[in-house]
Amino acid sequence: MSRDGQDQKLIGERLRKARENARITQADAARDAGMARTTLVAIEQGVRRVRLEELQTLARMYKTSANALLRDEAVHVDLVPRFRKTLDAADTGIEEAVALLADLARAEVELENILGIKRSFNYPPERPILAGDVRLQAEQDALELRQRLGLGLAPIRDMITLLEMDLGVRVYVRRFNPKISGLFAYDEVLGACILLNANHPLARRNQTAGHETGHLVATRREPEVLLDHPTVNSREERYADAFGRSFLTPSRAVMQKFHEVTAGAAQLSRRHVIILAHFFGVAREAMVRRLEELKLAKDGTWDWFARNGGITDEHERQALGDLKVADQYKTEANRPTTLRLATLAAEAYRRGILSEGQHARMLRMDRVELRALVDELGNEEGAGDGQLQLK
Amino acid sequence: MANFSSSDCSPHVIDTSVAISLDASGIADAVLGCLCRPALIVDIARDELDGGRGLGVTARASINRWERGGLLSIVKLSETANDTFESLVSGSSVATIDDGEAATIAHAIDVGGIAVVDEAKARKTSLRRFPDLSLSSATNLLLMPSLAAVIGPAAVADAVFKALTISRMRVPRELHFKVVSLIGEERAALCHSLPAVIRKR
Repeated sequence: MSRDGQDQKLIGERLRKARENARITQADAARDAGMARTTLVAIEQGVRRVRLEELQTLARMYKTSANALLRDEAVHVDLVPRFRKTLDAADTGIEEAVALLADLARAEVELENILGIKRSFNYPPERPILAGDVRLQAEQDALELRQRLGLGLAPIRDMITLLEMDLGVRVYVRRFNPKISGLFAYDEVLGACILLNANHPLARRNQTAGHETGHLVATRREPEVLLDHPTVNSREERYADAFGRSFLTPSRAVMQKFHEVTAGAAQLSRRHVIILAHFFGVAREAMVRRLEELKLAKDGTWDWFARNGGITDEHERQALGDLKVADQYKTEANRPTTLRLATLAAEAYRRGILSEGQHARMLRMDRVELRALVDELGNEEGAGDGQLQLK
Repeated sequence: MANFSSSDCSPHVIDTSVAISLDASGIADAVLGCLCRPALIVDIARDELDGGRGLGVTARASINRWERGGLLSIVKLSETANDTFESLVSGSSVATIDDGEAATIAHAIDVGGIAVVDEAKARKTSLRRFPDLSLSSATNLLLMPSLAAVIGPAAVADAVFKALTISRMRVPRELHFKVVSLIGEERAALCHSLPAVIRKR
């Protein structure tokens, strides 16, 4: 890519996106780069050619590189500004979480592109929220998606695999501020992306994933942040909540399983709740609230449990024993990047497509961390010699 | 490829990864002290370590110390070097390298110096685009006879082993066997940055 002609416009656009992702105003960027604001505006609009020294200064300020701005295949998206409304709210670490999602998705798409990997998308048709009861619409849409995926009434124990493999959504499970449960964003270049918090238990993450799937179905053009304790109760949020509940715990399946689990019992016990929550892969509180909603338990049942010692992990251990599901994603989240990104990066490294510096910057990793990752995957040149060859 | 020789008094322009590996070796001061003039690092390469983590942070602090001790100078790219730099960072992913690597090569060409680069793609790019440029590596510097004469071969072997295990130093292919014979097969087996075929001999 050269700084002249047609590319001038593209570079201007990339500079604007990089500035916005860094959350720096035009005025501040221009002042710190020692240029008039009008000059920066002209550069970003592609009207004026950016000088190399200016490009280097701006790249440093935006925490990127000249190469990332001038590399043909570099992926530039403006996810951060799209969350502006949410970012203006109280500081809850949302900005860092959005930046994390953007970095992961951008790196994955660029690596896929340069390695010639075509990802298949199979998004469900959009179902805009209509006038009337959002809960009923959500239930209908959730059942429709279940049918489409051939799930019937079966429980979904691993929402992440389902979203990735069956729908082609990019899902990342990483550790970030525990006040945030998850993020959803859709972009023409990246596709649908979901970030889930590895600091939350598996069952909670499943619920967050169910909620974000609701946004994919009904409001995919609107980026969304789900907080641990949501303060917004819009129709969109109520729809996504109801969608998640219906998708993970379909009413008919819950009724059927409830009948089976509580057969012969006179009252709902902690053990019943634990078995049902385990079966559907949701949190114990979510399970009880769903039972209340479906009138299978009295209103206030969860509050009663809460007032009387709750339903604890120890209760769960006693009830489930070895049946408790291991959380592989939590372990993976302790690694510097996702397994998929690591594999793609190691392949690009092995083939010499990207240099160490390009990789380190793209993955936001320390060089030594990157070397460790590549070495672990055994991807030095010639590592495959004598091994089984893929067609 | 031009041959690097320790007696060559051309300036050595070191890349980010070389600074990290030399720092991890624990004998960077002695290495840089063996060069006949202060090594150079371009500000762009040094700045890559800003805001970093782990060994990047300690290498950044060491660069400041080397500079204060007169072992290293921080330099900026000239206008001519900027043209080379731009040609190395613009284009397809396959044809380009990152800023620090490009700046190191561009400045070495500009001052008729030796580019000290460990990164394989940057070395290949340099060889293809600038066959007359002298290339060296952190390993080359650690293997300088003048260094062994000062600190002794055993200390050199320990330093190479530290650079390999702490910073996972990348060793150019042509030096693999030399490194293994220096540190011994037992220690080489512990160095995951060496190719498996070398480690498992």
